[in-house]
Amino acid sequence: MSDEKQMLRDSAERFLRDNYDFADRQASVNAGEGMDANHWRAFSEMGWTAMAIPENAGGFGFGLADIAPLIELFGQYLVREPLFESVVLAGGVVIAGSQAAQERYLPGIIDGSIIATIPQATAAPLMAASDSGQTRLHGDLQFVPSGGSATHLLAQVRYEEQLHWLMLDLELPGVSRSSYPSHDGRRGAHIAVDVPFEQASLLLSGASADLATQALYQRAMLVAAAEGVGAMQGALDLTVEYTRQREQFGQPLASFQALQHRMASMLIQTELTRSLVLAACKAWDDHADNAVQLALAAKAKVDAAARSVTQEAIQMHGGIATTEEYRVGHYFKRTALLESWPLHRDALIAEFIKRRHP
Amino acid sequence: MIDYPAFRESVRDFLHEALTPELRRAGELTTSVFSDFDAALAWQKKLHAQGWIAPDWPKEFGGPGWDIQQRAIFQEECKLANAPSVVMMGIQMLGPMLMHYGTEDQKHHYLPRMLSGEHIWCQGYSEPGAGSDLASLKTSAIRDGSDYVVTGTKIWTSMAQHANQIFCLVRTDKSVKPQAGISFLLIELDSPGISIAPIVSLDGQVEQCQVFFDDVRVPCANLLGAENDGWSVAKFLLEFERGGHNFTIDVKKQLRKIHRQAELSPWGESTRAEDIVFQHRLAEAEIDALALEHTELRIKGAAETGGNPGALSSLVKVVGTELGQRLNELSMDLVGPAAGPQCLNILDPLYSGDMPVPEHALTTMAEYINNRASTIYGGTAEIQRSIIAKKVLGL
Repeated sequence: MSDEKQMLRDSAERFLRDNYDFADRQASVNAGEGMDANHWRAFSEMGWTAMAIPENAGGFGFGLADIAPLIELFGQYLVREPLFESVVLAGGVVIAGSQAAQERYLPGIIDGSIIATIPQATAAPLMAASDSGQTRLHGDLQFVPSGGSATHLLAQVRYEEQLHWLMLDLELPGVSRSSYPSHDGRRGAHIAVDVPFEQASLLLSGASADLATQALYQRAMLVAAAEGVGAMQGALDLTVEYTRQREQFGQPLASFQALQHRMASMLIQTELTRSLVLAACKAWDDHADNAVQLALAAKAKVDAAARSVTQEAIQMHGGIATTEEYRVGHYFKRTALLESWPLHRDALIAEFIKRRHP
Repeated sequence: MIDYPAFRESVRDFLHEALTPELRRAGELTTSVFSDFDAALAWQKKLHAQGWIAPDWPKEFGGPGWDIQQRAIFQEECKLANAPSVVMMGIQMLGPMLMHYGTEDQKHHYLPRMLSGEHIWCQGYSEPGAGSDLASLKTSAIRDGSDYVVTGTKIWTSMAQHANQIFCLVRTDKSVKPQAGISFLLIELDSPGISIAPIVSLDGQVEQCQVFFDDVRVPCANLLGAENDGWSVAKFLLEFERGGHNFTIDVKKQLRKIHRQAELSPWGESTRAEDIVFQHRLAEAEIDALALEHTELRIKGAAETGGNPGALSSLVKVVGTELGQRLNELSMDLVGPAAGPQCLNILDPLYSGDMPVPEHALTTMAEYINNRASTIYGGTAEIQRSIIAKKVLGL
């Protein structure tokens, strides 16, 4: 790891440890907030919003393999702010877009004034259609993660028989959001759109939009997978710590061999998953032939492993883990929601089978 | 000879009549072993008026005098009709103990009030430092004249926020080995010195509490069983808590729901109902459900003579709860992103506003979360396996 990248990781770890207090997070969740604006500001001040942006556009030009350790930390610290949705996912599509699109949106992504999110991979595109001389954009997007906190939505549009991408300002009149608290402490939203449509607002069209779509959701799998690894690590660490200090039958729970073996299995699963996710990120950055295959494998592996590791973490803690104020159950809830994001595991495996080499 | 089909019909007729839309809604929206409390109490009163509130009780104490098959039919019909769950700590758990260990005065005082819903019971077993190692409990009861003075705290007391009575395990002798110095006390929750702190569960709802006892005076007459014999009372009760439950019915209800969810979950051009991969996974769970059902029947057949299910109740508890959790996962696989919203108000049976989640997915995430506790409460899956290893395998 280069110095720059090691610095990113170290500073992130320090920042999250010192500032991302779980009790404060819960207080903000209970106040109905889907994210913390102060954290968001700090992220952009530290340059995290510029990580994935190419150097010629004012960013650091880090690849996914460079960013993955930071994403893991976000998983470990249960960070709610949609940094990677905005910077890596929506930002990635903007970067693939026209010069004009980049000039319009990249500065906002970098300075944090744009908080962008993306819809589920299965979401139907918005439709742009002419009606009595005026072209309007309309449609509904369901269950948009962090849709209640974002300022912008990266949206797919069907217009003149082609698919396109555009960045939709969620504050526009004609955009209505019905937002809800989600089980991972964020605010999701159902978003209904009925606004005037300008062709000039499209970021990408036709074949390049189709490529961007595939790349977007493959990156989304990798981001979700890296976060899942962090959540597994967080759940494992807490379980080890708790069973060391919790005494029953006159001895620490961690002294029971039956539990030691189960924690060892949690570690095995976490490390296996981490290897796969890091390899998949690297393959992605290198445009390797098997990049897509590995991305599918990594996300499918995380879904299964994070489910079992976080469930085991709850079981080994006992009653305390079923309470809202204790941290470990939140790893379980977050990874449960990651399972269907951006696409369900069964769909990933079906795709994996299709792409498998004999 | 009992005409079971006719009996089933009479239960259905009653449920059809007695279950109002609000009560059924409360049943549908149940995401743990407890339904909405107001609905549960209203349902208890209706069942009480009908004489059916305590199917397992002998007739002399207010039971309907049904045999084991009638009881199973009744339970099954109630579940499948989405009746709310009646709070079980009184009638299902404490009731049989009172009949077994209680004095005539205790039976006379408590049993009718338990049936009518005048007394709502909660269970004071676990403490912050005494979970799986229950015998290490510290809440103490010291004799002072004709009272005990109780000091300490109990945790994970489900429904304490609604209850007015609590049965507790307390330490009455510190000088002997832990199990030998425990007594079983019946305590009024509004006694001076008791305070109750709700605990917010992982799904955001309050179902459990911590109860604090600060020099609470409890008449010695409220002792159940002999002083220092509370451990055997408690063990008897725990076996009822585990063995009295019919997991097969829960599992059948869950499976029925999963089939409905599969029909509503898109999969390519069709639905998960036609997705062979998902159906294969579901079928494996159904096969395990059949094995559970026939194990329950086998155990019930053996217990027909009236015996306590004993260590076999541990087997059923492990299998029933772990299978239930697996079924929750299958539901999660089906609802996908609809598991996201955490809207507590929509789980209120009286709620009538916007629905951010389709009807078939309303309870899925909350059930998935809450059911993690099923392998923790009533003796963890680990404790149950230890019981099997010790009592059945003799290890």
